[in-house]
Amino acid sequence: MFTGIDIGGTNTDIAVMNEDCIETVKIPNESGLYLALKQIPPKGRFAVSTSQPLNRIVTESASSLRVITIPGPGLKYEGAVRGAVTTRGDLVEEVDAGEIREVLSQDTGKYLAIAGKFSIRNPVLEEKVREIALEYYEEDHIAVSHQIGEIGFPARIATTSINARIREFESLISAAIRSYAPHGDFLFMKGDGGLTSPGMIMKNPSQLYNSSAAAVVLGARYLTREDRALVIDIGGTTTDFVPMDGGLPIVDFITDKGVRTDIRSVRSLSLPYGGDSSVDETLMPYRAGIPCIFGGTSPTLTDALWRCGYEIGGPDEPSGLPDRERSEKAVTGYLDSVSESIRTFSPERIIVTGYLGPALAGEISKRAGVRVIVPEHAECANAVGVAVSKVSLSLNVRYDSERKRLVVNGDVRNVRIKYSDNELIEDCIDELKRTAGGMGAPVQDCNDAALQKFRVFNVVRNGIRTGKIVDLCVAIPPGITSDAP
Amino acid sequence: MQTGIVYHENYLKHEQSPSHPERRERIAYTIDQLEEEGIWYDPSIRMISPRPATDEEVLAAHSERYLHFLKQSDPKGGIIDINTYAPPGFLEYALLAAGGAVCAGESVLSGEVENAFAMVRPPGHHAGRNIGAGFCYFNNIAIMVRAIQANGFKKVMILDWDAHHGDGTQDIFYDDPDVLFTSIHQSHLFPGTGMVYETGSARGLGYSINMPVPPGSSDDVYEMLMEEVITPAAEEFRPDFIAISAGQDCHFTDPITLLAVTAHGYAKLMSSAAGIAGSLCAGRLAVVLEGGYGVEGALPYTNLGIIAALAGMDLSQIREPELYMPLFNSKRDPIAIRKAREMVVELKNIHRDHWEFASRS
Repeated sequence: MFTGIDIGGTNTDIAVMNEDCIETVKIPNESGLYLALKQIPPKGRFAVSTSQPLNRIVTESASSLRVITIPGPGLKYEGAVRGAVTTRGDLVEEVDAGEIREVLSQDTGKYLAIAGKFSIRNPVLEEKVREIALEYYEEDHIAVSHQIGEIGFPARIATTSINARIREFESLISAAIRSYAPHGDFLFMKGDGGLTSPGMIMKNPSQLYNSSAAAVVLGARYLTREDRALVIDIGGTTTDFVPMDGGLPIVDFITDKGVRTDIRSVRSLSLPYGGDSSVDETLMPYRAGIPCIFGGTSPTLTDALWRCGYEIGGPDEPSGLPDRERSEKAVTGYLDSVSESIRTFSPERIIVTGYLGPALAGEISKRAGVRVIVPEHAECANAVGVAVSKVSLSLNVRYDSERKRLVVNGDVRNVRIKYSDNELIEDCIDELKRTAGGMGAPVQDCNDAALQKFRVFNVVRNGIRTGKIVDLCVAIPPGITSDAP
Repeated sequence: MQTGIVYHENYLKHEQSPSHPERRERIAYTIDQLEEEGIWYDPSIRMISPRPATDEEVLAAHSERYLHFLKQSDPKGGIIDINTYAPPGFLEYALLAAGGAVCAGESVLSGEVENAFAMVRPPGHHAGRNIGAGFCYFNNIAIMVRAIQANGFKKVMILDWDAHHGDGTQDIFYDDPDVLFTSIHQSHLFPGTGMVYETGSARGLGYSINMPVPPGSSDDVYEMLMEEVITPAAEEFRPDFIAISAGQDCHFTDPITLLAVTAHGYAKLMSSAAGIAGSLCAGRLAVVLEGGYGVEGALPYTNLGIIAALAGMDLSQIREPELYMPLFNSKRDPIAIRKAREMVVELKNIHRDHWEFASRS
């Protein structure tokens, strides 16, 4: 049994999948997460996508954030303190505890990001600053950069700054799920469409960003078996256009205030209109609430569609609906925006999901001039995507044979054996598979674990080769689990 | 405007032997630093992909006989000098290095970038018209200079600050009055040339200016030479283009030289050169990597300092970490500045008939 939950902007969608059936349910967010979690069956795998609330935090102001950087020699960075680690991970300048305390004692913000240059090679200075910072900050209000594991100091600073603000949220939501869900073990969906454990997310919570858009592509793929299409997800608050290629979303790094981050997110385009968007003289880019035809009091796009004859809701006219003229104006405006967005992707095929998908598919197909598919369970395709996704992980590894040091995703280990290149790659892939297996991934899901980057440097002393340094990355890519019904 | 960095991963493939000082780690560690600094995502930087130099471009700086010799050596390898082995297949990488330098010059001339750094290897400045030497096969900067001249920019000034004298470059332009070759290098170091009295020949007399500096020379010596010799020589020569042979082996962490320049000193030197180019030739400046062997020491952030200076970035944190300071203090010789000033007096005396600035004091 596989259960997927997607906490969206308006509703929490749930899909429960057995061998022979898929059950889906939508629960308005107003009813609370507890009600949604009560729907989870007591057995099987359970995964959650929480991107909507998290996306809000990411886009909020960062005024309560303090950033401490430990750049050492090189370019200039804001918030710099003393301390330096070399490209090789050697400590060549200590941090000054007095300086750190002086910085932290001035106007302490609520959240703290700590980022050291080359901390992914040796996190010792970040850890020293973190230790001191615990005198001033809550543990889950502090984020360090080495756990992101990827090279690129400006990107790590930007990502750590986001992590500092969302660790608390991630920790609260994990606690809520653990207390209300019938069994404690669960997985989170990441922005690239893969699943991972709460433990991994706690180290780098920004991985959760925009996971709903990835979920809807995986759901659309699972429900239609199509591998190349434009997925249009018509939600309550937004309409999202997400291209699918090879059965997966296309993943890019996002930027924050013009700086590239280490946050992977699917390529998508979002219109600020959905079924709950307000209809005044015309369609407005904000949510009015529940549509009148479902018991609400303010007119929405859904109500306008009902007025124009689209098959939504029941036959009886409730009060509060917009008149015909305003409805037609709102619907035409919406469909024009959708058509314009579709043109930017030039798709050969469209899959429409979301609760308005079935009603609008015909008109979208007519306007775009391409085939539109409406899968079964289109209204909860996102939750289906969460339910069927597979565990996906990566290990960024640096091996220094002379220093007898292995650094895996920013965590340092001392190693006694000398690895050949092949032994190291095999060991890393084995560890990747073991970790994925520990999260419940079946063996078949790990068969595509592969080497994504490999480079090796020599270490030479007095003309003699005394060691080697290897940088590699191994990963299990996202996709649909082989165990999916 | 942007600063171009010419780079290709094939620059990491050439190898005389895994433990040779001129090995691929020289650039690999710098690439590591640039990746960590996010340089490739900086809007002021543009990565330029090189192409191999053509035979015609090579023959503008080298003899046909020498090119033929290299081509013959390529399949099986060959010995060029005691330090310079030509491993089988070296020619592809050597031509890509020379082509990278040409691309740096061309990208500046076309206005694609304001200035450019060709981060290439194998290096080139010891390769003369008819011979290779000192880890060098083709003279990358000379091939670039000839390509720049072929584009109509006749007068080119070369500043070679590698710790070793650029004997190959001097050889190629020794009798050419259109190319002003200036070199600051450690005295009595390989290749042993670059004495003050080597001033050029025939119509090129006076157009080679050599500044050998004593071991222990640090930032103050280089600043003084910029002020006393290089800037006034440039102002008098009025170049159309400035080309830098940038060897970062003058840094105090370099294992095979005895100089004591800091990373910040290098960055300031680069800034000064860019300033001269800005005031004399509309900023047209290209830098070609030569030596620099402090692979695990300061080379990565020194090369970064060069790029930061070219791109007009803040240089205040191009600095040395605390642990390196005792080495700096032991390598720097405070007397070096006095000896360098004596050398400048001699230099001006020798060049007094060639340059007005030399005859003034």
